Amino acid sequence: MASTVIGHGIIIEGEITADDEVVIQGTVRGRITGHEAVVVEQGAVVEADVSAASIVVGGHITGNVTVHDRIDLQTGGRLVGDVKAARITIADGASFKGNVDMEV
Amino acid sequence: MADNVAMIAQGTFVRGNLHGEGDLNVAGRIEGSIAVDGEVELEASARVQGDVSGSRLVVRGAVLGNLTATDSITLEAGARVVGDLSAPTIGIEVGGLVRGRVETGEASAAPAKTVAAARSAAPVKSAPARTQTKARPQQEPARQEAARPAPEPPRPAPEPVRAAPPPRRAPAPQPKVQVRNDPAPAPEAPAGPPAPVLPALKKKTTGQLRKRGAAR
Repeated sequence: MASTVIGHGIIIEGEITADDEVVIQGTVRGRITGHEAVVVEQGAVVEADVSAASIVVGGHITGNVTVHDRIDLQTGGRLVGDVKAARITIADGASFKGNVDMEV
Repeated sequence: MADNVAMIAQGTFVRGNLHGEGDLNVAGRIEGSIAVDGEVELEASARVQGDVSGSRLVVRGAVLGNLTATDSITLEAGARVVGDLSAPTIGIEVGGLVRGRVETGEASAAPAKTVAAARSAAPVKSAPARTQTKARPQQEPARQEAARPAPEPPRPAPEPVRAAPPPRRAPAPQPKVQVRNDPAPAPEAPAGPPAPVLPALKKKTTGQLRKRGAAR
């Protein structure tokens, strides 16, 4: 299925609700609710609470994150906010500040 | 894929404003305005509730809002737009539906200017019309007083300066009064709201109910 791509120079201020994958290369402020994967690429700035099936963080996310499946923080990725996930990986070089709740 | 193409897929709903650089392809729902400086393509499944502006707009879906483009707007078959279109070039294909104002030519700055010019021209135009028609029947002091605030060009019709009946006893227009038209009328400097127009009744008129059909 088609995926939503927020391009590099695009700024969205508001809520995004998506059924499919969302790839963010630009700036999003507000809230993101995805039913599938949310990929924040390098250079992207997300100042929003994110809720998705899975999240890949290559850029900056500032906000609380709730994931149903897994969240991956890649090298160069930066997450400031609380995480609620079943699985989490934090790569070497990623920045992270917040609480992690793995629903233990 | 170009570097700056943004794509809102069909199952995506965005509530908020979208702005920035690059091209945009919308196939989902957007509640809010779109303002980019590149091309905007609204696919057949797009539902946009808000204004859209870009350099080039191609619409195949439904839009509730105004479309403004700096280059061109194209409505293809299946497009449904409720709102104004404004662009130098506008194309509507067979099957495209529009309800609103369609304006080609200079966009953005011109409509505001023409509206402002029309508003400022309207009172000036109506004032001379008022003085010319009302100056002739010389029994309505109130209307002439109201028209006096904007009487710059000298009027051929007589225009007495004072509103009170006595000075108008002279049948011919007084040349002195016409010359003094140019500066603001001094005695009426503190001009309040015009006096209400009273119908010309005889002095002993009293109100009486009259039944229909009854003899007068």
